[in-house]
Amino acid sequence: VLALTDEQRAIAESVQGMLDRGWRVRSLLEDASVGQAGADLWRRLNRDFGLAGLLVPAELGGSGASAMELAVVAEQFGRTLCPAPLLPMLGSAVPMLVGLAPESSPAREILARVDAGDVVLTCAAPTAEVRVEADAPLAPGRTVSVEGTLGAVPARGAADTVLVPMRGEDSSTQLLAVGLDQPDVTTVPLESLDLSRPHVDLRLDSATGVVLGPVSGDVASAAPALARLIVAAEAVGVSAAALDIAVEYAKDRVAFGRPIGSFQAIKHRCAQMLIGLEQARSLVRYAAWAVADEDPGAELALDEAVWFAHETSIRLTADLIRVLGGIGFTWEHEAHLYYRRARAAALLFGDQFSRRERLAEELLA
Amino acid sequence: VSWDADQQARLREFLARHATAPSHDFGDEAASVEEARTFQRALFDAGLAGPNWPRRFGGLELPPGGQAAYAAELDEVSIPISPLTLGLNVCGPAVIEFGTPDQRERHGRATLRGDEVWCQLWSEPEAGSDLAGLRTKATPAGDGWNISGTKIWTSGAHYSDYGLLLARTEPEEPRHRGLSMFIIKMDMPGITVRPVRQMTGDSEFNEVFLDDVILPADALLGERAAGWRVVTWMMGQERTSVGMQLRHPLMLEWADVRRLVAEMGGEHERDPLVRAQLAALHVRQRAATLLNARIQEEAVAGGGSASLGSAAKVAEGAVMRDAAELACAAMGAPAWSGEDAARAIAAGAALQSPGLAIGGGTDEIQLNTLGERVLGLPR
Repeated sequence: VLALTDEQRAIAESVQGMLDRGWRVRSLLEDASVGQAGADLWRRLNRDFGLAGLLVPAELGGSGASAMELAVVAEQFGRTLCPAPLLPMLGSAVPMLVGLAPESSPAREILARVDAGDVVLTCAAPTAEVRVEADAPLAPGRTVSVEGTLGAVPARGAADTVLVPMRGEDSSTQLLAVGLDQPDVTTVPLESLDLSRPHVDLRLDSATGVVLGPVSGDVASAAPALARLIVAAEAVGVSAAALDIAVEYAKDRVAFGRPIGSFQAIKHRCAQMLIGLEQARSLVRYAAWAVADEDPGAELALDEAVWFAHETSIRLTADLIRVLGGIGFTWEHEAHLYYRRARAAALLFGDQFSRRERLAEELLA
Repeated sequence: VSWDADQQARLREFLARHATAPSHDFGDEAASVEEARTFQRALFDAGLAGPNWPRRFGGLELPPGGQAAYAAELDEVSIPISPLTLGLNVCGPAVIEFGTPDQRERHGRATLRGDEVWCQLWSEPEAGSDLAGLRTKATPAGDGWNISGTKIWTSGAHYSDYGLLLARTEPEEPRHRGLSMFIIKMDMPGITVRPVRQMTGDSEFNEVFLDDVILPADALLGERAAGWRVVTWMMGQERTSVGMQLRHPLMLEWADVRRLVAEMGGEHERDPLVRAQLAALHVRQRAATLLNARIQEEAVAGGGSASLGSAAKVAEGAVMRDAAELACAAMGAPAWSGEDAARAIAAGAALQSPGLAIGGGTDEIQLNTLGERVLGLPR
């Protein structure tokens, strides 16, 4: 299960090809319209590859792939810092909609529009900060008026609709869909460390929303397993990119009359980067298998993969800057884009200290 | 011929009956070798030996999927074949790969059956990491060869029946182009084996003195002056073979460290810093183990890079050093005393651990290999 199947390799290559043709990392340095680029990329990948339906069961019209294929795709996203909203889409939104689909016709409707590329979704963290005016039960399909604030919502400028898991007083959670293109939704862009994944605060002031139905369990939690897997696999991609750029530079750059990659100080640093990368990749593959297989050890495997993948990507992107020397410290070089991503991604769904403490609790119980 | 459920069941049944952890103390080598031979012979006679060996030498010649299934069965049990692994995974396969029909007939089956135990005579006092600079000479003498020189770090030389010896046949050729590989019987006149005492106090390696050892013409394995090809092939084999990654008996795994800290560490077990280090160690151990498993899976499936094995070796060594470090540090001052079993275990691991970055190719050489062969950096 650790080696890629031929089919998985083909998926990696085809996504890699599409991203290499359709997206330049360096464009993050040039303009701020990363949201629009993300939306365009998402639509293209969805049209050519059926990305939205990757994890949707075949009987609902998707390709019925597993977490293992998702990890393969996410690694390619990380490698290119692709701004298309893979994380909110396949980490939270689509899994919640698929869960609701049998009981909820509005969820089925949105899913169909996602599939057709008409809607790009983002997802708010589960929150009790949002209220609806309602005197009757929140049946699926009901239009409601929504009040509240959603903090740090991803996919700024790329998504047109936000899914809001609204915690009720009875600790049940209702999923709402709120269109972003309405006057009662105020968007406050946040300055982001990670230029490739901009976030936004949303203020909803009697905004119109649609009730999709009750959600529960892992998909409706603050850190769903698939979302954590995507972030870990993206971190592997970031590490892979850091190593690629470092090695390419070490082969070309000449100092003291020799390519710097021939010096052991550089060669050994690159080799250590490789060792970290390949270990992280192995942990993430194993975690993806464990999640796909609903293995009893999946939670531990995922926690280990996430922690190690972040440790590695933070170290490798810093190593990249060291190999590059002065040029690596400039704005023009893309190295800092990867470094920013590695640092910022490690702060999604927790932080490294609390992850390690959680591991200690699991392991030393 | 594929690996079917019937064979799987027979292997499982065999292992249930015969598999035992090595029953002899580390150090009682004569007994360990005998135990290994007995096990392997029974496995061979049951028609279950050599998953990747050709059928004509008594192996199973399994396709990749079958080899993986076979390896998975072995993972579940403990078998006492450590003294044979070099012969089964490296030397035997090398004779089959490079040998003449006669050499293959002579050694193939006997090696797989555990009748012939093998060692590798490569490193020298003046040629360790720089193996291509070795000086042991093989001079044509009559129909055969006269071998003179000194080898060192030879595991198992004192109990092996045969060795694969790398020697210089073309003194005028530069470095690796002048080397040839020989099959040498270890009880030939002129061979003296002297154990090397390690910093742990144990002796796992030997110095081997070769004084005018006369080998027959057919001792040459592969073409003359093609020894480097053979040695490179063998190194690749060593890293990707199923069952080669046997843990050194002195080294600790995470579960050992955790137990030692719990037994001896007192309040350390509740110390957030110790807990954090234990958690990190667990992840790193799993990362190194999974990398190794992935490399083997890819090798069996016929992909991946054999040189990536160096990454797993460096990673595993680092994890085991940290395990020894943590066990020793967490046990407090009396760790030096060795008066009780737990502290002696921690001290033994601490003494063994520097060797992990040296044996089987130093970490520095492994990093060169990774940089040059995997990443394509210039020499």
